Amino acid sequence: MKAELSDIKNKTYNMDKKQLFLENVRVLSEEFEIIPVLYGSLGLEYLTGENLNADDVDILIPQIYLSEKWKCFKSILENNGYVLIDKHEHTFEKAGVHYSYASMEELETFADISANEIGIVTADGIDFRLLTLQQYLKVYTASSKDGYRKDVRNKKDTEKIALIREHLKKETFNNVSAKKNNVIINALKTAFPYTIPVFTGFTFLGISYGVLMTVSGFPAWCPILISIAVYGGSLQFAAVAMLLSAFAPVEVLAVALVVQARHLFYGITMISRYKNTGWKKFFLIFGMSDETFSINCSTEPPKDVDRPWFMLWVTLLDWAYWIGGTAIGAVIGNFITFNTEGLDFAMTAMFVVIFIEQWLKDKKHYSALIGMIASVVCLAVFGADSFLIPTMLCILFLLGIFRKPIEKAGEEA
Amino acid sequence: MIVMTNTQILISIALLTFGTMLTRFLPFIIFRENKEAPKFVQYLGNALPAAIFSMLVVYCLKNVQFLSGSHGLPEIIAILITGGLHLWKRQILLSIAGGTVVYMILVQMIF
Repeated sequence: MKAELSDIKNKTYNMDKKQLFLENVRVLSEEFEIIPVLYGSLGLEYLTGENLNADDVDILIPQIYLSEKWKCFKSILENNGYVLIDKHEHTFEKAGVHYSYASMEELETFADISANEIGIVTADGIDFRLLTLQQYLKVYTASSKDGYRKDVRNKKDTEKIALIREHLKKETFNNVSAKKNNVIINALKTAFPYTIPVFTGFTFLGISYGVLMTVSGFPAWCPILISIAVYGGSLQFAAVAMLLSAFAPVEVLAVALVVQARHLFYGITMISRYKNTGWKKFFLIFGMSDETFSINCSTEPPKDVDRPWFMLWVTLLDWAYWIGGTAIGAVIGNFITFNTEGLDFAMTAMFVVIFIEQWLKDKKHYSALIGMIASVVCLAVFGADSFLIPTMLCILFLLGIFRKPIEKAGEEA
Repeated sequence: MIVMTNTQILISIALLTFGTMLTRFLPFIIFRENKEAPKFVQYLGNALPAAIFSMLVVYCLKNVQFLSGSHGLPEIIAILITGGLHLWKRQILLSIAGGTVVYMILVQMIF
């Protein structure tokens, strides 16, 4: 109980000190147009919001008022009720509170801070200057080397230095967090436009898939779950027929591996681009669909954009579009009454589009033609169900043989 | 008609997921990033995409009977429409939607 009372008393006492300081400044600014520095512990209290039990009000004013204009200065203050009690320290007293004045210029010699560097604060319409945390740190560090202060006030000063350091840490942390959030959002803003084509394509395709699955008899959660976990359009469409057949785990796994085998190639391509991405790497790889691969593979974001975050956003957005489209399709699928035959052609159309885009990009089309010829031949030879693996082997083989011309064409591009 | 039980379906989905993840993660596991991937692998990284996309288009058409029935005409026409639309406007949604709609009409009404 007793401790609380004195605590409140101290708080209000110190609150009043700030008010008293402001009153004092009002006198100084009216009579002399001075913008003084609120110095010492009271200034530090102001900055940090901590209660430091400041004894006096320490004020810095231009040197001239402590020398040539001292007489004038002194009499103005005395007319306002301030009594000089220590000439050497230039300390006045009013209503039990001490006001000590020192020279602003000394701060420059002492701690290498000039008056112009000290920012101006306004309270109750009154201007005064206040040091920053960094500047206070400079002052206290310098004064801890000063003989007098070292002996008498050493502990207090080291405490204050520690307090300032703490507040500085908080400041930089807040700035770093703020900066970090900006980096992430900036990457998102940059990534989004690139994903708009995917948005339209995936929404349409996703709806097709969702509808196809639900009209085939599957509950809505099923295609949605598959879209989340597998996230592979071609496999998902291919699997519709499989899921309508009898349970055949081996065949399902084999088809998955064969259809998705092209991801092996994507992975090889992206090894270098996905380097040094930390925790994001898992999601980048997991979400490496054809479209995401195409964008991340070929896009160089502007210099000031964080590349890993850019690629991650592309990945996450594409994934979200796919899931969203599926969900919509799954839900409205139950209300579809018109004939949906041929809807899965959307898949083919998508790959045709991707193919065209790649063709337009390349100068020489060796690789595209190799892929085309190898696929058609192997399809004819091995049949629809088993041509993918032979095709990929042929592609590898042919790309190996034609390496020189292909690399040359790539360099000329 | 769904003939599998829910459990069997879930297992199948798990296998689909596993297969996909395997194909996606394997290169990154084999070629750990601290070592540089062999030159040939790097070259493949650049040369493969075009071939892959060609393969994918063929893959989508693998079940089309070019020598009988509709002779793949709906597919051919729709692909030409898709390609044409794309070369004209370079708008993915337009190209995909346009081609698909044409295909659906052809397949349901004409062929």
